[in-house]
Amino acid sequence: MAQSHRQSVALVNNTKIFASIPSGLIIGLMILLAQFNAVDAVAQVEVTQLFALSRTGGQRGTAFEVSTALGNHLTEIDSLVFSNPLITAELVTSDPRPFSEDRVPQFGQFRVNIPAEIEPGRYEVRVSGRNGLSNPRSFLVTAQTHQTPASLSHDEQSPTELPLNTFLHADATAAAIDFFRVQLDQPSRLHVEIVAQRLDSRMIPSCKIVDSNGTVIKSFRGADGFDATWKSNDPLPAGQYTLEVSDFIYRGGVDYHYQIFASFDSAIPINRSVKPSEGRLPVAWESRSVSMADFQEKAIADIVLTESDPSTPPTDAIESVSLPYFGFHTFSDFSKDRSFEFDAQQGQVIAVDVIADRLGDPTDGRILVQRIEPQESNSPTLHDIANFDDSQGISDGALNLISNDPSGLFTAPENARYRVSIRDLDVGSTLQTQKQFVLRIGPPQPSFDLVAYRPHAHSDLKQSQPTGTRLFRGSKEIIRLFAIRRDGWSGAIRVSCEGLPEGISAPEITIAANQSFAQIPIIASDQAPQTLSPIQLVGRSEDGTIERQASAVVVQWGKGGGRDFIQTRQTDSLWVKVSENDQIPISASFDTAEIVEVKKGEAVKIPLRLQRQEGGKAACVARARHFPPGIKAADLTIPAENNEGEIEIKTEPAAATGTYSLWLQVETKIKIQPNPESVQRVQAYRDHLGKLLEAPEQQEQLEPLKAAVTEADKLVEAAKNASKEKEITVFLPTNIATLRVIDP
Amino acid sequence: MSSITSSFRFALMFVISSTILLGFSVSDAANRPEAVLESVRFDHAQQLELAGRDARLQLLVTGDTQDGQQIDLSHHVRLSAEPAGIVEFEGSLLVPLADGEAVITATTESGQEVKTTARVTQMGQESQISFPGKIIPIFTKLGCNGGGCHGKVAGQNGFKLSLLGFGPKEDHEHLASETRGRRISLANPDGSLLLLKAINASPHGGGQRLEKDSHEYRIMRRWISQGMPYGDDDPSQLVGIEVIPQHRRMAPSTSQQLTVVAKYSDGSIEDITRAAVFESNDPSMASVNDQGLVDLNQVVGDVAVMTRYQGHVSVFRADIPLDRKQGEPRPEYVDPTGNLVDELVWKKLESLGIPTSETCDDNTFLRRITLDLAGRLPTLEEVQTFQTSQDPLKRNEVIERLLASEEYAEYFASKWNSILRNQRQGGGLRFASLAFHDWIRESIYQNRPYDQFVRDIVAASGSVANHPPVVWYQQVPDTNQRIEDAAQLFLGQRVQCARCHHHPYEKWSQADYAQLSAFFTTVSKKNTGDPAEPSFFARIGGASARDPSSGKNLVPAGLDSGDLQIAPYEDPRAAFADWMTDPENPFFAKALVNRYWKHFMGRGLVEPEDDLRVTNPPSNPELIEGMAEHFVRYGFDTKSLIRLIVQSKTYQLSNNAKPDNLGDRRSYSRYYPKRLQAEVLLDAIDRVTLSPTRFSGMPAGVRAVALPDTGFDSYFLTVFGRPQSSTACECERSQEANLSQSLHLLNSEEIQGKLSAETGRAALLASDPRTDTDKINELYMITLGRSPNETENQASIAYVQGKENKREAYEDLIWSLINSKEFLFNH
Repeated sequence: MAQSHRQSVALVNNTKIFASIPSGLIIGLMILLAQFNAVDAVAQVEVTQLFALSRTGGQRGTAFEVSTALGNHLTEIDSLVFSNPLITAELVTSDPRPFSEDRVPQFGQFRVNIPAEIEPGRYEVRVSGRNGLSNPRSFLVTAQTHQTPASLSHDEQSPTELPLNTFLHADATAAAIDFFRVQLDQPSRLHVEIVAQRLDSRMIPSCKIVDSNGTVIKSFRGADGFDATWKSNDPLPAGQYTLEVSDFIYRGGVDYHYQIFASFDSAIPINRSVKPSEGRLPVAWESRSVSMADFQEKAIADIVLTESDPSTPPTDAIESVSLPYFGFHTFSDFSKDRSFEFDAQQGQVIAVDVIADRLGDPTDGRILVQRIEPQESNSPTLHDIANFDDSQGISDGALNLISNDPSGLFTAPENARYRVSIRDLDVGSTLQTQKQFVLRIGPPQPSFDLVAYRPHAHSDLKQSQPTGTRLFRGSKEIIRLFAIRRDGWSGAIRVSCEGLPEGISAPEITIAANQSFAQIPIIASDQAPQTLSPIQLVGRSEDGTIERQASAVVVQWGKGGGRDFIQTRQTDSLWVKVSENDQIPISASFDTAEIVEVKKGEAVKIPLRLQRQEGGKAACVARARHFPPGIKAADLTIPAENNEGEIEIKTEPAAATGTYSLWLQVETKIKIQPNPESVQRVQAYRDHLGKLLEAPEQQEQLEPLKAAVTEADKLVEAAKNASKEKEITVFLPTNIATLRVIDP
Repeated sequence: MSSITSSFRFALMFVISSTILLGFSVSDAANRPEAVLESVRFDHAQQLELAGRDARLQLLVTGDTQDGQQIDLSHHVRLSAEPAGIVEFEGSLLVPLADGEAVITATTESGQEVKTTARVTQMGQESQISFPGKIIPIFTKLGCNGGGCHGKVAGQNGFKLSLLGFGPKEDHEHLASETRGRRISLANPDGSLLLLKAINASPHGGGQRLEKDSHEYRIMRRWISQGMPYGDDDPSQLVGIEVIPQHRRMAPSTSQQLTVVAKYSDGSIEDITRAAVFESNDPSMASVNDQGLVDLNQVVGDVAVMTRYQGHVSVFRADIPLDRKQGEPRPEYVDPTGNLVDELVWKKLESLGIPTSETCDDNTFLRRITLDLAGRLPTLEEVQTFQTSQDPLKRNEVIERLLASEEYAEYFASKWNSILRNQRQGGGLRFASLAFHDWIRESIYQNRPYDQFVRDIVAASGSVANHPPVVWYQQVPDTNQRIEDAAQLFLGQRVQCARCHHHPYEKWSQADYAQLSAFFTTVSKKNTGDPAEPSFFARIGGASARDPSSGKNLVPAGLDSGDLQIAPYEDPRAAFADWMTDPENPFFAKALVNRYWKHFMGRGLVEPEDDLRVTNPPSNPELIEGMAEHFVRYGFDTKSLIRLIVQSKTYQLSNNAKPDNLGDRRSYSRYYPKRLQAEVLLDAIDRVTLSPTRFSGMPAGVRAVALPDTGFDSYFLTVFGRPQSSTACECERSQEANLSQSLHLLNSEEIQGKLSAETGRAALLASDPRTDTDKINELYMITLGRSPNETENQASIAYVQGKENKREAYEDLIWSLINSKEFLFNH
């Protein structure tokens, strides 16, 4: 898998140096950088952030152009990396420069080819360039045609034509409505779908369908994580209909892109598949919370959510089941229960799970367990045994793993019949009228799941933004891991990073029994080669009986645009890119390879050493990050003239015993030159022209040559300006120190 | 725009505005006819008894006329008593002097006499003065324990009393224990600060409240001299009060003495007229003094006077029919053709002898109904089509078309949005407020039954995205506010007083309040995404709330309803919604009926529209009952209710008053003009000037009435009374006229900019090749929904043709039209 991905990356390092400078691109990039640097409250090592592409998908069996539309640090984007390697992209080039034979790459512009054999679905694409590999964005492949209109109409009198069975690409405009016209030649059930959230757009799609008399047929909208979809129950009369489309809170821009699709009497073309395959995204794509694709994987693997009804229709009747039970149901209406009864023996431990929110339905389930005491003449008496509400309440302020789904264990107090009642506390129907759930009742299956994401390199997680990977030689990136334990399992988890390419390493870390998350550093050696690779994180219980691969998650949007939370979603995998052109000026590491033991209530000092190089001479402040409860460390400042210090780690008497993987975040200033190679390249071209200028055989073309030199001088000047050394504040992770807390 | 132009504008405006709305002027009402007395009587059910020296008894003398009316003669008879020395009179107040019996004689000016017997007892006994029974009512009567004085939470200048005397023990404690020696002087009662302040002998922020020789002063003085006793720990309980009479038909500009009787648990009664507090529900119709004398103004209709004593209330209602001169025929009322509204309005008008105005003309109707249902002016096409239509049912068809329109939903969503307090949290547009507004609009558009609409709000559970009514819980974050808002919005009950003390104007106690709030005590929220959009739900647990007066935890119960036993895992709010929306609920349907009635008719059957209490009776009880029954019978269908109202002849009456209904302001004998709401007026001006207002963040063309909240910066909307959505009260919206509004319309940059816009209507008309006559006719139809009359036409044409600059001329003409009362009012 990783190998094929690497092959799909169209690196352009082999092109001749001076040919890789597109006309005017440097100046354009400078403008772009100036425009978007303001997003970073604190300067960081520049890592490519992708917010939008010019196009978000296409029909299989077609080829079309795609370019970067919005992002940060999009310097010299030379390749697109698709989650499915069969989808390829070729960098667009322009005619050679004067007195050169090499075509000029148009960085950020690509011709994408989608083979006909690709399965329709949502895939991912990342951009790669001088500043690393970006975060992913969705890319929709369909069997239907795609179009991008030259312009969109904001005038209801002259709407944009919307051909049926075609995905029309558009960007929402701030404080404006896009008007589309669709023609039904005969009475038909109209189906309209506005795809935005599934494209990682910031747009919350909203649509109003109006007939030719001006009567509103239907208003519908999406939400965070939900697109706007409507299908008429009854055929609409033939005629013209106007679709009024906008962002629900009237925002706009290229990051508010969407695709609108209309058809009649057809099925929804974008099925939701539970199992990710062939690089497609799993069903649980919603950005509000991240669901576990592999949660109950075995049990629900065969379920594909389609338009078909669940196995049992909604009913108020109580259903009798036998354990173990697994079923697919529909919630009852407003404040009513779906109830299931079964027999259980005294002392029997029973797990009850409802899976609905995690499948993407707008639900908030609650479980009530009651023991049934039969009465001879009256209705049975019900005794409350347990109730369960939200599960997996884990969040770090950036990634929210809280699920509305209820789950829990109970022990049957006696041999009796029991009733499990399921109620949806989210009584609305704005997003979905019929809501489904999977119910599991049976013996516990103790285990855990792992979720991994790359946090934004910042001291405040609430400032998280979409971020990519750019690993300097000698540097480290932190991957955060969350453990979601289920069915009463409570052990420690050892996590390792497997299949790492040459020059990259990662230590095994431990998520202690009383921890729900930990960090693992990905470390590039000083001589690591240029590398682009997905990484796999695997967690194992300490006894080795349970092994789980981590699901990968990315931040898709930071706060802003009227949304005051960080939006995340699952991704195919986490990637790492090593830049062999960059050497980190400073790195910090714990100077201990051993497990450090400390008794509860005592303190221990661990040496911290800095490796300084040119550009890394500033003072550093090391801060404890995400230490477990009862373990603390004061900030450690290492002055500019020192290279080492000791951080004192204190444990409280109430700290839990166990093995902990600890890390520090080091704040310092570094000086780096952003892209010195670009100066070398344009200078090489300028030198090439200079030589030609001195060559006698070029005297006939002296004037054009002089003109080319003048232009080349401008390019050199621009490149030098863009590559001027900067001093920036960075937040660098240390390696891991393993601390074992023992009883006194 | 030159100043000369502006002065012409005023002249032109006078031409336009002077031709309309005659109903705004005032004329004299008819004089009271001479009444011929048939008999005279004392209006007391029992023998007059005065026990003890503190007893007082308000005499009530009534004359029965030949035409079956009753006239109050209490202050128009000569009173005498035999033998002397038993009683004396202070006006019509009977005061005891000595034990014994006396015959009281009342003699009219014409010499008619009526006699009764009064018995005086216990004059020789020095009875102990009860603090809660005698002193507290004095504090209440004098306003000492009001919310603006010592009844404030922090008291006033160090002296604190419980609000309206609902904490007599605490009050006694404050007076008797905390301040003895200075505030109270047992040795020298007259030197007590309590009395010195009351008579203003010592500087008193509240001024003089008592005369030194007054009855109340003497009681308080004696109470001090008795050592400030609290009184009997187990006295007979006050079980109610009764005002006498309870109902009268009275002529305008007449008066009626009231007497108030307290009833105790031991069966005894006591005249408390001088201790009771009186309040008119419409002071412009009737005033009432401290002694319970009601004076009517020169108006017709009905009025109520509430009397209050120790947490109990009773109401006097007066119907005031038109006084007709002898032989003057009574008006005839057209057949109401089965419309319930007409039937019951006609019935009352007939009873009062008030004639109706004529039915309004088609132009007026179209403009009125379009403004009332869609919040906009009728379009030129609509005016022309309606004018030319010969369909006898065209009015009903317009009603149906408007009811089916999205504009109707937008307009009424704006109304509900405001009182549901939906407003953005923060600067820009917010998902939550837009989602809730959108849900309200869609519910109205789909004509969601009102009971379901309310249930979805009060029992809202889930996420903002999927169930937007939960935003109400976010906007109203406090449990007390929730129950108070729900009661005021959906039941027309203002229960907030009962949070801290027994409701002074209603029967609701703190226990009632606690039981209502218990429905909301299990509401919880959780954050799942944007912290500004938490989900709400009812957690598992027993719902209960503490009654501060008893200290007990009480289970949920509706008003006037029994305790509800709700399983811990059920949502108590569902039970609350069940109780509210039960067809038998006495408040729910009426509250909505009254709210919508006011929307269309300009004045609620009960005013304020969300204050339905026994002490504030409807002006037409049968009508509100009848419409409420209709509303329930039709499944809480708001469109059906609206049809009932706007299809009635009552709604379609002209605003032009007749001499005999000019004074009517409560009986709906004519249409009462109302100033356009801020948003409607701005939209109307935008439409007329063809210069739409842009609202920050919203697409072009969005009307002001369709805005999702009130957070848009607009001086125009502010100055014309747009509400802030900070309370559940429609009173936040002001529809009064003021100088700032006039100045803004007359001379603001905003209006000038609209008039002189390059693509505005004035510019278009100036370059329009049609004749001025045609253009002016069209302009009148767009602006006023009618063609100009001859005077207006001539004046307008002369003005336009007299100006060289046609664009300015049309700007002036439009300016004049939008400044006319006819434009500014729905009439």
